[in-house]
Amino acid sequence: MEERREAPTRERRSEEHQEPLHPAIEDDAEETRRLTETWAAPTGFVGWFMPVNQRIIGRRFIVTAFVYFVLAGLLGIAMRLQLAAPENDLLAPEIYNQFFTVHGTAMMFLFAIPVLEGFALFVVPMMIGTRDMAFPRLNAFGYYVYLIGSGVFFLMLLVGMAPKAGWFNYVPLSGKLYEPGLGVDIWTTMITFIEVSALTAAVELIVTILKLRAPGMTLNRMPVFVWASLVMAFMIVFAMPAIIVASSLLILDRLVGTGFFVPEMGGDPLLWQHLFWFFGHPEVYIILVPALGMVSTIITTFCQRALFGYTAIVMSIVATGFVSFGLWVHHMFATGLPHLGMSFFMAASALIAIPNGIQVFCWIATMWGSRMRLATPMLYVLGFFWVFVMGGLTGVMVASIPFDLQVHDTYFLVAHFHYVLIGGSVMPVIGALYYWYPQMTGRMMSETAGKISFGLVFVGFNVTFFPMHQLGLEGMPRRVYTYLEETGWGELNLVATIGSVVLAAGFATTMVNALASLRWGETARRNPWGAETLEWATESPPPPYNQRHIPVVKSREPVWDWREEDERPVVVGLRSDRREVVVTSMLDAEPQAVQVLPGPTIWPFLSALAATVGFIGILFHPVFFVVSFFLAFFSFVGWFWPRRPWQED
Amino acid sequence: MDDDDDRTRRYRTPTGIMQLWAGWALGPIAWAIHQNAAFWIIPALCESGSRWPLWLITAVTLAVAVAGGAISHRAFRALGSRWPGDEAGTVPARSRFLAAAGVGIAGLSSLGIVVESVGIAVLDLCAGVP
Ligand code: HEM
Repeated sequence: MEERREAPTRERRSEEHQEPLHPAIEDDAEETRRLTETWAAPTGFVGWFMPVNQRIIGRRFIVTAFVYFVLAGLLGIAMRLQLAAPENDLLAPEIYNQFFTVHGTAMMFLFAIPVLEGFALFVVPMMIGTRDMAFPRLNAFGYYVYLIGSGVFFLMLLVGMAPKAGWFNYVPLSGKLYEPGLGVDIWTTMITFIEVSALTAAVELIVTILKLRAPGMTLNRMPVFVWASLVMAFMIVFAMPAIIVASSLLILDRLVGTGFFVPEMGGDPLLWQHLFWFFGHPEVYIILVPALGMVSTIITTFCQRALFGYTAIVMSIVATGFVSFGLWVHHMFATGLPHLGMSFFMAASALIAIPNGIQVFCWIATMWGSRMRLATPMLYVLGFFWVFVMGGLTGVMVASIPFDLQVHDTYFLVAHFHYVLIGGSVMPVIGALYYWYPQMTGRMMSETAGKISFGLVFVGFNVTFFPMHQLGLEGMPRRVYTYLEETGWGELNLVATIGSVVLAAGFATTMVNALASLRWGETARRNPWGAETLEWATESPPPPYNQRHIPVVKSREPVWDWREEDERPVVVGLRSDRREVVVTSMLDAEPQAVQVLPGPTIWPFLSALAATVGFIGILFHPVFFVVSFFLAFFSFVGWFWPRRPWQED
Repeated sequence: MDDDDDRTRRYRTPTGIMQLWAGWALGPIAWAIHQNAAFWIIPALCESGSRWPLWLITAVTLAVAVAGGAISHRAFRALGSRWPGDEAGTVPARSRFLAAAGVGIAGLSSLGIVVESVGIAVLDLCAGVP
């Protein structure tokens, strides 16, 4: 089969070897200096609010998301400590409710989506051989919106006003009657705010991937991670509006007194569930799909061979993306819907195992007989296999309505979704952190600490969450702050709690490793893992302009080609005194135009502040909507102030 | 080579490109319409007691999904029925890739429609209808 192509040469090049350019092309030092100056990000305190470069924004997304991972993880540990013994009184019921709500919300909205967006923003432009995103200022705006929204949401916990209605915030529990404080109001507005950020990232990714690919990178040569990011972005565009609508309706019910979800006023509580899960189920796949792309990337590099079944893998990713929109009702099997109608969703839920199965087989075929290098990223990918397949199996079980009705809202579900979320997303993300760390910092993370961390995470994870399957089958409901001794659930809960401490130690090892390696990590050499994609065709870390010359691509493994041919084809003729990138055609990546990108500015930050005034202010008085409208208007005028081409050209 | 020149010309035109995307677009759209239309129509059908609208939806959407796959498959055959690699000659290569993936996507969508309709044959129309 033509799909399978061995890496042309396996020999490692000398440390800093870079394949030569055509003799007619020169790397002029003065030109390089000018390019650096043009693409440099401002420094200083005010400068912090101004950069628009994709790698800086991507890195900020990743770092901020990991901060929330740690915070939400601590809440998880606190809940586990509370549940370690029957009738424990470490956490009061009120606090426990706040903790599981904030833990779930933060893990999903403040960690999982942003971290994957962050990786996509950081890696995709480099992988497709361009210098920035298509709309750099929108990119920066998205980050500030996320930072402010998430910060306000988390602060509510510190002042004891966090919401308590769970991460899916069901009505009527989240209505004014049962949740009178500000908690749910903040949840709804901040979630909308954060979704705006996700939408900006999605729009950016779609345009960047379709229009800024290096010449020659036809659709069938796009790296799988780029495909996965594209599918994720489309899913965000289709899924997020549902939650934005749902949140807006809920806030209207709560603040204005409408009755969209109130049966006595002609509303319907199930409307919330439909809208939430029409977003919520694809959401799970929004965080899974790019992680699948990471897995493909890591496997190719560490097996040093082209991915088996590229077309089948891309097809599976696309299919996973669209089928995920037809599963939402499986979260509502216990709500009393028509049986025949539910059976359609049961069928679709089982169907999604097919594309995922295809991918797993393609990965196995790629690994089969290869000389696999068991570095930390690859270990995390192997961990992903076990954990994700386990989660997938219990997924097919709960897709069956009769079984689901038995385990609905029990710890079986808690076990299932942690298996898919941590196995399907967190493990590949940590693997990706080790993998792309050299491109983020110029250093390598410690391999020894990485391997210890993997061991702790793998063992800790299974010890924590495996027993929960049994607890669920024995009938332990989720979201209970304690249980009676007579239930006999004490021992398995204790095991789970011990496991969670080991798991936390594993994650902590990686976090400390990442921080310590900033200073003490070994300096990364060029393309340290011997990868084939373009983000490695430059120094580690790359200069502000990413690549000195935009490359020209002739296959799916351009860097391996250059190694074989000992020559690097590139684009010439871009100016170095302004931010220029090559625009190419959607299908065939044929050069079409040059786009001049805007430089650093503070306006996206000010626009995010203006939007914040509206989003938060409206909880207190409607006038803030008007105030924010005008503030946003002025900040947008600043943002879009026209350049003067006659001065620049 | 001449073949490839022809193919390059053909699959650069809007019609050629639309044929390549047929499976990608028609399959999922048909499947989504099947699932949603069939789901929301059930309470009304329960009152009338007739199932044929469900079969009609199934037949029409299945036909659309299969047609999408068939169009992609024709393009695949016109491109020499070769499994897509990333060989040189960019337009035929990417067209082969799009056509093959289109067949797969439309195939999965059609399978989805068929599997979903099993319930129509065996389940009570009114069970669980509020
Ligand atoms: C340190 C690792 C983790 C531990 C110890 C942990 C523990 C827990 C516990 C004890 C609960 C509450 C169960 C209940 O009372 O119903 C929970 C719920 C939840 N967790 Fe985790 N978790 C961890 C990581 C994660 C991650 C990485 C994610 C997502 C990416 C996640 C997503 C959720 C969600 C969505 C809920 C449901 C919240 C709700 O019921 O509203 N967790 N977790």
